[in-house]
Amino acid sequence: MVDSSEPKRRSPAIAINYDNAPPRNPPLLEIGVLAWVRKNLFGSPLDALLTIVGVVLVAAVVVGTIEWTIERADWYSIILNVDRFMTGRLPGAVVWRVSIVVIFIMVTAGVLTAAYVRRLSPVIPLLLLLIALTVVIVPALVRALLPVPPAYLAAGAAPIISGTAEETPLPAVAFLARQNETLVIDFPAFAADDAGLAAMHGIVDRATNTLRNAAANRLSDMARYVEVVTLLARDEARLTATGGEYGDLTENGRATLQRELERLAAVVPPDSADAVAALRARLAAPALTPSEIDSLRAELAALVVPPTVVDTYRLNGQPVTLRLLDGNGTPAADEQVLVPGTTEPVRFLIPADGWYILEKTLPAGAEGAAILMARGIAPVFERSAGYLRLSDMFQFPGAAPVRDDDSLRPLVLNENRYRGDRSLEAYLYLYVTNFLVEIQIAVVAAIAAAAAGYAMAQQADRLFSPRDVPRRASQRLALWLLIATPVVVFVFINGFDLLAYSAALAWVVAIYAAYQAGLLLYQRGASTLVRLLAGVLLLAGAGLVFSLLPALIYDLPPTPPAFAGLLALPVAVAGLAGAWIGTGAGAAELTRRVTRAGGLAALLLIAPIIAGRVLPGSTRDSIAAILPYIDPDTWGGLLLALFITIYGTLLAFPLGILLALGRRSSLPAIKYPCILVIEMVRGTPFIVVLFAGQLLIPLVNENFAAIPNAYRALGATVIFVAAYLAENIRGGLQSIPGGQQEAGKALGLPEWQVTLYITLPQALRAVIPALVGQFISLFKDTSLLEIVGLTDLSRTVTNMVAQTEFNDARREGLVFITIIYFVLSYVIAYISRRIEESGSGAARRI
Amino acid sequence: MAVQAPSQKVAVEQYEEAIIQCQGVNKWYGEFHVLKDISLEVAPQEVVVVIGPSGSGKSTFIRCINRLEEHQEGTIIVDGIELSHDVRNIAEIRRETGMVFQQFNLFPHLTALENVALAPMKVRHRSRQEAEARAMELLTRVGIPEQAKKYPGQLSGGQQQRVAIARALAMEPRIMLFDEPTSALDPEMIKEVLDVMKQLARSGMTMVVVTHEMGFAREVADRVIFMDHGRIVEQGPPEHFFSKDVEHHPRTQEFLDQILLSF
Repeated sequence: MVDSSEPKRRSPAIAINYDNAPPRNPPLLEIGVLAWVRKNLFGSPLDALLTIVGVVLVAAVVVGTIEWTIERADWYSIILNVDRFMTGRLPGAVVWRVSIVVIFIMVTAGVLTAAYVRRLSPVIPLLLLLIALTVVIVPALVRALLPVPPAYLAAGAAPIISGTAEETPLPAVAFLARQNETLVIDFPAFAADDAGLAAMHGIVDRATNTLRNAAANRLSDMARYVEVVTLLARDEARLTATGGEYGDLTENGRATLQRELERLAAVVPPDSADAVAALRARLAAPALTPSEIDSLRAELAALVVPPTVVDTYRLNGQPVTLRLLDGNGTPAADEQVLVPGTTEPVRFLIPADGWYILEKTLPAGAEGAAILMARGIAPVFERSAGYLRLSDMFQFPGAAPVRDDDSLRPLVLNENRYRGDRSLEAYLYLYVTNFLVEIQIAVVAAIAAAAAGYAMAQQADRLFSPRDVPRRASQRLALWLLIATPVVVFVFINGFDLLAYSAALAWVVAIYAAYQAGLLLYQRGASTLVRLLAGVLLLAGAGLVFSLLPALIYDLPPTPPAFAGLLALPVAVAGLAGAWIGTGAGAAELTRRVTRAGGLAALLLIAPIIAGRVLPGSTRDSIAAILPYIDPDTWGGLLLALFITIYGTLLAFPLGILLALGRRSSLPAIKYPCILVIEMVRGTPFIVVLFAGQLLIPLVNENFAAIPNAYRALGATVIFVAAYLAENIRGGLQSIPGGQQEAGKALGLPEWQVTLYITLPQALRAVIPALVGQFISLFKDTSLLEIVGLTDLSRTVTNMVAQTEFNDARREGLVFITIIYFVLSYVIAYISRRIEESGSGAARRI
Repeated sequence: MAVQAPSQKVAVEQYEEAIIQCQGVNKWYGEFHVLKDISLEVAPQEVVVVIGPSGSGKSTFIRCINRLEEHQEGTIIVDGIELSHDVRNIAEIRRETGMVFQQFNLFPHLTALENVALAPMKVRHRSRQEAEARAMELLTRVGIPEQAKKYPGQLSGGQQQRVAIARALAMEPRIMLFDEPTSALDPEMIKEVLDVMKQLARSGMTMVVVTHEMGFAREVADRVIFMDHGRIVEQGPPEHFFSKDVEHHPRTQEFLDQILLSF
């Protein structure tokens, strides 16, 4: 209030706060995790409700899935079929070719990353490193820290009965062991009573499993018996109380329970300490009617305690004689006896790798049975290359020992599987570890290849890229690798004939040379005649190379066109020289172009020529045998899915662009056929198009029936994808503002160049998300290939389940392919998102 | 109706041969008559500014000159080549005619340098090095050599329009057409574009400019043309147009009054 002469415009009171208070912490509920929880999970009563419902739903699914995964799922089905899931029925001898392809692709991926990703998020390399370390370290850790899960084997001569099942323990079991391992055999502690027996879990032979079932059935039968008796007694009491009017049960329910009681009484004589205890407890309860007390007393009096399974078979009450024989049946160690009550287990030291036989016998004339806990024995799985020990994937080529009287069997997977609910340790040891070991080499090699590609590209940039374009070298490398990838994949997966390769190569070289020469001539304004002449001569030169190659490479006589080619050679040289002089191109430029063409030719030709001329004794056949043709119908699993997806998209791409441009054409003769193709394919399900590929193509020409199934499916896929791509690309083209085309035209570019250099590149960038979506959906749609008889991932599951060992493993197979589909689709989608975000793919709008 | 300004005859006589000759050009959009009997001759090195209210057909007219729009009657002869349906003629005329658009229309997927170098490489078959060196020269001439490696999206409107001018110049045209080159620009960027255009005019380029920049017209134009309802209503040297003493066509007067009010 300095100036009081103007009462209407009061200046604010002057206040200066010199109190320099330290900053305070915000209220606890306003920052950090708590605030996040409060705001996002419990923001309103409805939010809170949704959160709780959501958590309950997720928990219900996740808990059940995890329990199943750890305790019950049979993951050996996956581990032992990983190769089938990856490559189908591809012959084992050519799997290395797939490996090379994978390595090549991963190197390319690394180079691409180095060349085009602007700032690589550190999460990616860390994640890859983590994956690589996991697959290497986890198996080692688990094997070092956790005990080998034991196998439980039964001994004894008498049959073991559970319900209708009857199983006599085998006197001997064959198993695989390695040198210096110790086989430790003991009586398991849990076998002391039925409850322990029923709850046992582990790798269990059939007789032991029968014992386990017998104990478990007896316990559950007894419990049920008590329950049924109680229910019936209560019902009767009710009936009595109401004078027969109505009871607890319906007539049907009563009759069912009566029948069950009879059955249970036959299986388990009413008995057991538990049942007695239960009845006593109920008698002691207050507020029982006199009639109830009477009936319970009568029931108690009728109880006879039957022998437990443990007692019936005098389980582990008798000494067991153990003999270790080698695979030929000769003793490998001294006979030892496992005596009940002693704490010391029996130990055998394994002298060498191979098959062994463990004989386990009770004393002569002894009845009953024993359960042995054996550490060092694991079930085996028969493979074409021999047998595989499942605890650690130890492979042994020798055949399993047999005896004529069938008293000896190897501990094979389908009879001796894991029974009971698994512990986490057993899950880790038997399944996780083995799965990781199975994929270890592939995963580490793939990640290393990607890292190598990345490093290589960076090094190339350091050495060769000019300062103002710091990534030119790596981007060129990436481009060449990208172009080479489909060729490499095809050559390695399909196989190739060197002669055909040479011919193809000759054409590549010729076309490249023609391109270079054409550029030269065009730019220097040569006359039409000179251009025409040069073109003809170049083609003649190509024919020459084509026909002479067999002679150059294999010392075969040149094919007849070679003579024409030979004649053409001097003419070609003269013509080119004339063209050069005529156009007045600088010698430097000519040299540069010739070096370029020549360099490419040399690079491509040098390998077959060296292979053919230098390697001793090589003939056409011996060279063709390096990469022999693989029957495409043996492709399967992921290999097939990826092959169809990648080549389907790749080949559909040019077709899709043509269809899109065709549909925009103003010429009816081009426009309407394009519309017809696009709309017909889009109006048809993929399955129908696939069947058309299988069934209609042979109608066009009978010889087409000989085209392998996989290629016909690929053809159908290409047409199917092209129709959708065409619509996507057309949408992209339509989204380009008309000004772009006008600007191009105003510069004097002809229409096709406007499309090629201006609208199409922008349209393609604008539709990248749609293209990736198309790619992913095609990848998933490959699961339909099963229907036309190809071994895709889902057919692999079907085939797997057809093996006796894995009859019950359909769920495991489906879970596994779900993971494959999901992981790959997610990775592709992630990469595409990154491309869009980085801006190198998105159209840069003004 | 057109009041023929006396200076027009002078302009034609002054130069020996017109580089653009339009005779009785008529154009319809469907039923709508956009251009009515347009006759105009532009001499080499002349700068013609076309003004007029929106919808008067001035943009349509200059777009007819390089055949971005098709006229239905009359003849247009550019640099001795008659515009007809012959694609080769159209291509040739377009090669001789650069055009700058209101919306710049730069190619967003190419850098400034690539925008400028594209057409010489594809149409004139220059080598990449040659074309890029020339493009760099042009970018320097329009004052933005340091933006060569940037994409259009990273440039300001004024910079984009200057790249667009460089791109048109890269084809070494004899004629430059400007279609409201400053209308989409923020006021502070208009000057940088006009400066480039003035410099171009001084270097002797034949220019046809559709614009609302009266200052530019007054300073640079050899001749100003006023169009309304698809007709050339009045034409004359800028002194004629921007002097208050001369008697104008009433429509012109109305337009000038409105425009000059805002100055």
